[in-house]
Amino acid sequence: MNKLNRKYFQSSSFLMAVFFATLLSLAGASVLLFIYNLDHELMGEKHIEFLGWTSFACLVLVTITSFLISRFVVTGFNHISRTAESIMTTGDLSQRISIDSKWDDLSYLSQTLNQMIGRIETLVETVRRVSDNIAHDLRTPLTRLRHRLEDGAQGANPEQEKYFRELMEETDHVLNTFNALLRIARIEAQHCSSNSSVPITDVDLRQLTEDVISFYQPLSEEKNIQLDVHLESFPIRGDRDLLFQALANILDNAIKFTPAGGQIWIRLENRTLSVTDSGPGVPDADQKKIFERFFRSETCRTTPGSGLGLSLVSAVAQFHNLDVQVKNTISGFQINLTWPTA
Amino acid sequence: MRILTIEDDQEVQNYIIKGFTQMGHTVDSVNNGKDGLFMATTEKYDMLIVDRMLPELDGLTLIRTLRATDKKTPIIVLSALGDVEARVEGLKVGSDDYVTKPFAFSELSARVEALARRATTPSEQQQTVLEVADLRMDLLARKVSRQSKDIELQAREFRLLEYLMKHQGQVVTRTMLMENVWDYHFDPQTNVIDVHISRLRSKIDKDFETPLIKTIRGAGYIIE
Repeated sequence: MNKLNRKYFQSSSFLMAVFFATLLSLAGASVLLFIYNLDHELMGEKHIEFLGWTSFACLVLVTITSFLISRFVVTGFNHISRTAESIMTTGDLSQRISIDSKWDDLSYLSQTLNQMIGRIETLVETVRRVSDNIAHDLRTPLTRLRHRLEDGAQGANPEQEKYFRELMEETDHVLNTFNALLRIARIEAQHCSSNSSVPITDVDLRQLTEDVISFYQPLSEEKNIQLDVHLESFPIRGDRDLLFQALANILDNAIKFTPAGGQIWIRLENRTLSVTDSGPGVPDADQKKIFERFFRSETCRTTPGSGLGLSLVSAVAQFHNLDVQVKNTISGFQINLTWPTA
Repeated sequence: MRILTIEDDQEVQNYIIKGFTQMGHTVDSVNNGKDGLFMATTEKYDMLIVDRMLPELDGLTLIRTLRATDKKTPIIVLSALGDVEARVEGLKVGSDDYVTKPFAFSELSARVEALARRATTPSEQQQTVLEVADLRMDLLARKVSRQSKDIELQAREFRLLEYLMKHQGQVVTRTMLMENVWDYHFDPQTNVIDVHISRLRSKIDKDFETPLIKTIRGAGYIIE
């Protein structure tokens, strides 16, 4: 925030004006010197004194004007930056840069920017509306499909019933993928602030992490994976269901990629939640892509999964302003979520 | 039970009517919000099943209006908007439960039954001992025993069993367990609930002749 409220003296336009003022005064001084040396008799002392004072007055005038111009420019830019930052933090695209004059370049810039924001707003709104409509228009026929399959399964012989069940599972799979995509899109369209439609509450992140761990414990015990847990107390504000979902996806992955008898380290300290598995890790070339939708590393093509788990983690992290880092350690793959300092 | 469904999709409507009629309930149906509100205020129903997107008057407004007139009929919202956010919104206006389309009939009927029972037996909260066949759960002492043999359960297993026993004889779906035992709305990528149930089974049913926790294919679990 402080960066945006720049001082006039630091602005490039002011510095430039100062530079020209100095050049101007140097030029004036050299002309004076030249005339002074030319002939004392030709010009009277009075004249020289007059010339000196005028150039000094000019200098002061230039400095004052440049100060005013830079002040005007910096105020204008600060105003634009503030609006832009406010849009970014709140995600509220209905905000506009206020314009009080028409003649200057800055107002013209603001006007163009406002038009651009308007265009983005329409686009985002369209995306939201379209995805809502898709949700409705596609889910309803799928509901019918599922119902008919259910109906069919009821009066069928065991072999047919098995067939119907498989079809139902396929339908459910399509629906789940599609729901996950829609959900990611909707989370990405919002931002963790008071005016989002997601309920933001006080969350005890340690408790939440413990809940996720206790939910997945039976799964890790089945694979004989040791969970090494160290959690510090960390109260935050956020959406508990989304956070639970993100942590669940991370832990789900960790358990999936850790071989039987392995170990998973879960740490919550210094505003960072980190999960390290003892799996094969992710090739460096793939590390940037793992958050992309439907990305599946060549090494994990055979493991079950939709390729959307980490995309959702990334969307939830972005929603809460978190920094996400991934790397390979000696033991395995590590993912770190860091909360910004308050 | 007398049920009113307010749903504009004829196919879904028929499916609901058919299902509940087969179970022996009486079902009335309307296909828009305005008629729905009229029926719900003038007639007496035990359960309302309301679609969220309705012509003439949307589902949420309908519910808000009903609740404002002090109608306490249990309401289940049906919606194609399945996000947790939409769900929260639905519950906030005064509905009692939320089922996302597409739904299995078993999911809807399980929730209808759970809700109907909650409405008729408000004293359930005061129960201190739950019993299913020879399985006994003491909620105060937090002890579980079967054929008078004590069974050690972890806290989460205890809550899981408690929920199943409170809904004994009823099908409980995985989503219902997720929401009520774990208290989070989310979609597990792996079916962890099944693993929790199988662990509970190994403690409750393994050493005894008759298994109590049964799996209902395509629906969920039942204890009886």
